Amino acid sequence: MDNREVEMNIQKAFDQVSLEEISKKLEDVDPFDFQCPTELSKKRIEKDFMRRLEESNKKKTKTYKKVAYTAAALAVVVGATFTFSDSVRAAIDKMFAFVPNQGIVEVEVDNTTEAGDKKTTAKNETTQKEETQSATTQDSIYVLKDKAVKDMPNFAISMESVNIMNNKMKMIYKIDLKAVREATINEDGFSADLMVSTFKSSGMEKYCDYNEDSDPIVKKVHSSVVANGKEIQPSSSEVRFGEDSAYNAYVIEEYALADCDAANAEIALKVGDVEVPLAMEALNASNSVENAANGRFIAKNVGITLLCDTELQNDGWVYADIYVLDSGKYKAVDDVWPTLYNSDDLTDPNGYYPSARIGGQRFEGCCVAAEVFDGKNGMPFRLAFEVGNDADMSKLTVFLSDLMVEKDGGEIVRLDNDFVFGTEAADNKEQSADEAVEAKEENPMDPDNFDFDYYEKLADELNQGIK
Amino acid sequence: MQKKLMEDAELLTFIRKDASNGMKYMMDCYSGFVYYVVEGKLKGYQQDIEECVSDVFWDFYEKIDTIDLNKGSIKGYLVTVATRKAIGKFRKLCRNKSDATDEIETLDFGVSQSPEEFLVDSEKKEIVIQEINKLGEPDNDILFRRYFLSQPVKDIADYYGMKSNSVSKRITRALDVLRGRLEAYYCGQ
Repeated sequence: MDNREVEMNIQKAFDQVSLEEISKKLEDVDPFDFQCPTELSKKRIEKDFMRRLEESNKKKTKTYKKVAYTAAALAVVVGATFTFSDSVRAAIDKMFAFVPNQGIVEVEVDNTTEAGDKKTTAKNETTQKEETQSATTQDSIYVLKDKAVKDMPNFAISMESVNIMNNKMKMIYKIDLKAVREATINEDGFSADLMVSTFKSSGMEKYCDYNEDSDPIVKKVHSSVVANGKEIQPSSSEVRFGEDSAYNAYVIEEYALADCDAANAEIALKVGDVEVPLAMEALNASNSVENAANGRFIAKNVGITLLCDTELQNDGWVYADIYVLDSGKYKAVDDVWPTLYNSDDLTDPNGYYPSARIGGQRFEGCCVAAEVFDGKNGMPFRLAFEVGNDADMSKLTVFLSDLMVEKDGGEIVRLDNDFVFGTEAADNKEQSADEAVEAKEENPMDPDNFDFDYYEKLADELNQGIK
Repeated sequence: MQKKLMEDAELLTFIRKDASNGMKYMMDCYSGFVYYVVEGKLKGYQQDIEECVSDVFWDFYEKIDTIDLNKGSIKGYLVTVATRKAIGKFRKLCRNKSDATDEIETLDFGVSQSPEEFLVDSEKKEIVIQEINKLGEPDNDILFRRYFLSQPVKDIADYYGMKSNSVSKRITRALDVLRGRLEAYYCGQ
């Protein structure tokens, strides 16, 4: 062992020191002895915080609309191998019938199967058959077939998620301002003037409107969708900011596509004069090995149904988008990222992430752009796992535990029940809603609340089968 | 005029009553300190430090109702959050860097550890802390400032009223002592 290794051990060890010990060691440390590098830097930090506070206050009073996107996600169950109770199917049918800004329209409801009956209805069988033949049906949902990216000299557009159901399209795409990033990244401090001037000189005004104070810079995107040669304006458009917010923006939009055969239509997103072609395919999801290649799985436990849509990125990371199809007896699923057991947990140095397994190897996950993929209004929660470009995706299993759920009274609790997506899901016995184990959200900052025994047991269970 | 820091309990009450002004005051007092801690972990990623610092204050604000001053001070909470956030940020940033192998090794917190490795590592860290504490004052505090707060040797020397050379020698001697004790511990296992 050399001194370098000792230094590394010391660094690692200090990062796991208890809150109490750190507080004692910091007693004589005067925070006023430390300054931000510039006054501008300090102001920017404050401004960013105040922006978040303002947005948070707005969200608390906002009334959420039920969007067709959530209905579209729920429509998966029509073609899936699961069937559900009458109450769930009734809820799904209600969702299909809701058209934003137009109120409820009457739709014909199928005769449902008996609860617990694994056979699908005649209409479901027809739907599956029609999907196989690539025809658009009332209940089909279409998703992006291939990752679509448009790389321009000064910016790039990457499609994060696209869904079409019943002629309604919802998409999330990211705009990366490459030219602005390159021009400002080495500057000391933040310069709104430099960002705006670079934004203009790189020709970005053709594609987006900008904010004068550049914080953040993208205000609105000049976007539309072209379907079979016809240009359609968005029925709604929202810009959100995730990580690296100075240089990129997430755009969430909805479009009404009239009489559009999603499987065969030529569809493209248009931003300014740039077009991003979108190839769509019918969505099927189940935990069967045959469908594992699609990377879409369903997990149902304690009355909650989740869909997991996975995709291997070019950089060897898997994105797993978790959609809440049914929150069961709970008002909502608040987070798939347990407050107590994650790396951002305030005092817990042993945070256990959501995890994935391919064959015998386990991977810990992290969240992606949590401010965008927040699980609300049909948006998924997005997780990422670093598995490498050579990973055998047909053997992927994703594990979630400690879901955070919201009860009717607004209380957030942690569920001690597991959700397993993928080829190993069959080994996981489904529990009834009564078997939900709610752990009271004790002080998450108290290191004494970390249950080592529980995670040792979970680690053992996850590693069964490892050679 | 020397700024006076509000007592922790007083500050928490202020923030709970008036979030906007309370957090402004808090950031005015602590943003430099938090920046310092984050910068120690995110060296080479200057543009991400400010965002990380803002994340720290946001996390603190969001979880303010669960803060228990019997468990730790506001300084302690901020430093702990800042460390976790910065490490998490560093790991995400390393995804996009192919030349950060050394840094990844330095900050490898067992991303792909097996549970067996994870449990052994925890025990090892416990031993290291015990041995550091056995060094006594001021050496254990010097090591804390150097390797946790990433304070430069000169700043540590100024605090203790020592010469920089003295602090450097103390650090080197402490590392030698720790190395011997850790090697002896593992040989004994």
